Amino acid sequence: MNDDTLSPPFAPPRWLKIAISIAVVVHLWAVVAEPIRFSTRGPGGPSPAASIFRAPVGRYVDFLYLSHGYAFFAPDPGPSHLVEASWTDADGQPQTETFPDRTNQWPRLLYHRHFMLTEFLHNLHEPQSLPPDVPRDSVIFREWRSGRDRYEMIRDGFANHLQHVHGGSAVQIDRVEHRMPGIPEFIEEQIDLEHERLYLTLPDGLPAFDGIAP
Amino acid sequence: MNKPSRWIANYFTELTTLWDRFWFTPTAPHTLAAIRIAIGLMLLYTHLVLASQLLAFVGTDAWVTTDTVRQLHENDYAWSYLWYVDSPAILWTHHLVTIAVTICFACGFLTRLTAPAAWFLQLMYMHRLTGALFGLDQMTTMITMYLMLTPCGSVWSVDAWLRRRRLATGQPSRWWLPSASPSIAANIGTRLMQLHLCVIYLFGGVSKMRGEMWWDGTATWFAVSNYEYQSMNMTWIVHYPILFAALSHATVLWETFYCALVWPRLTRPWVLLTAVMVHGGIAMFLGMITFGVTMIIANAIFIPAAILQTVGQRPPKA
Repeated sequence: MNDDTLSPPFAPPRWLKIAISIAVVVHLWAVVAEPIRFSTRGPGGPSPAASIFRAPVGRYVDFLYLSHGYAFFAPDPGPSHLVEASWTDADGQPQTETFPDRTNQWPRLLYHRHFMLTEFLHNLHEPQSLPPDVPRDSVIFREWRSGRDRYEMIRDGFANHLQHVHGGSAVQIDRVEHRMPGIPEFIEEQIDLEHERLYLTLPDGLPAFDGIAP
Repeated sequence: MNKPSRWIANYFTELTTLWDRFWFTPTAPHTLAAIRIAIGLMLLYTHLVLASQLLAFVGTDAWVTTDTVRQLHENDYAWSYLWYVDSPAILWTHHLVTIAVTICFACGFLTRLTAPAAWFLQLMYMHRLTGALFGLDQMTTMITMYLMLTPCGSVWSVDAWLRRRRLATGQPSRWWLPSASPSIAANIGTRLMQLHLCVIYLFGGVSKMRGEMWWDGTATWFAVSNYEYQSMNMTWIVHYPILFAALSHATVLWETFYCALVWPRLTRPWVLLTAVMVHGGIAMFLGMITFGVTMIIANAIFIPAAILQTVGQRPPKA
């Protein structure tokens, strides 16, 4: 017996249609609010209009994990950022590991989760110091301090995790940038994608304002 | 009524009719059911992979600790009870429950309960795994959220089997074991997922337009030459500049205009075919198999339920 044909479609009353319509509009507002704010950001932050547009649905966006800019490989595909961890083991031997590591982290999804962690650390990086002429009571200084604290918290979390796993001494964390070869470089020099020249250990102490710093 | 006011009145009458037709036309749940099975299995896979290193990601000595994740979210409204759980025993019990719920969701068992539960448990993990997430997680959470609003367990499911058994003995609960007949709830879930997908592609295209490499055509080269993403060596493409430039431009154009071209019947098949090629390429060459497959699953929301309804049906006897 096929019961599907026996169930007449539910016809909602007018008030319910209006209520559903309002809920749909509010939800779609939330769906577009974050990518609009993300796409309209500039050097000074997001557009004030976009921020105001998002504000009424902000809690809803944050809680439902709708807070995405949807910028996949955008605005440009960039270099990868790895983490190099160094420590001394219980026998006093120096050890080094680089993450993500596709040979140890398998399946691919697990590798990718580690890759996202190292990119996350890099994206939050703030330099170790500011030029001395930046006043300590300025907005720039306060924002740097807060960003640097956040970066150190994540970096130290990585170090603590690795020390918990491996034992031994405290773990030193360094960020490594792995750039892609340019087209002429790849064709003319036939450079391998893993050539050591393409890896650069990123310094932690660069001042934020290269043009201003002495 | 004078002419301008009549025109305005007619406009709003037509708008109301179109709105009503777009959102409140009953739709069969077969497309949603197919997506439920596929996304349920993907969700299950992500939870199983997380289980292989559960405490490294959510335990006391995780890469990102509970204290850290709480501080990272102190200025927003994301929240998870997992921020306050340190006990390995509780975390493992919670994860096993999550896996069990996700299996039930994928099988369509007690879907009215297990669909929202699978979504909520996933959401709690999302707010705990800050820093380790990517497009796969955005998509699986989004799709599960819309599926839970619909009778996606009414067909190709344990619920459908239970309903048939109950029908033989009496009337089953319409709420817990809904029939696979067209419903407004199925339509609303379908429409929301379709529109959300359009938003994702539109802003994906707009974000690429801010870059230079998508304009000069080198973006595809720099994507395939990124060793950390690479799962298949595609660097031979460097010898075909017309090819990689064309792929870069086509990606931007397709993403940007997806939201317009996916609706007309004439262009829809081509837009969806491009989606399969683009995301299939990402899955095979850029090492994001799960993300590529999930995006293809998401695009299936544009396949009319009538096409899938015929699956498994016996042809009528002559």
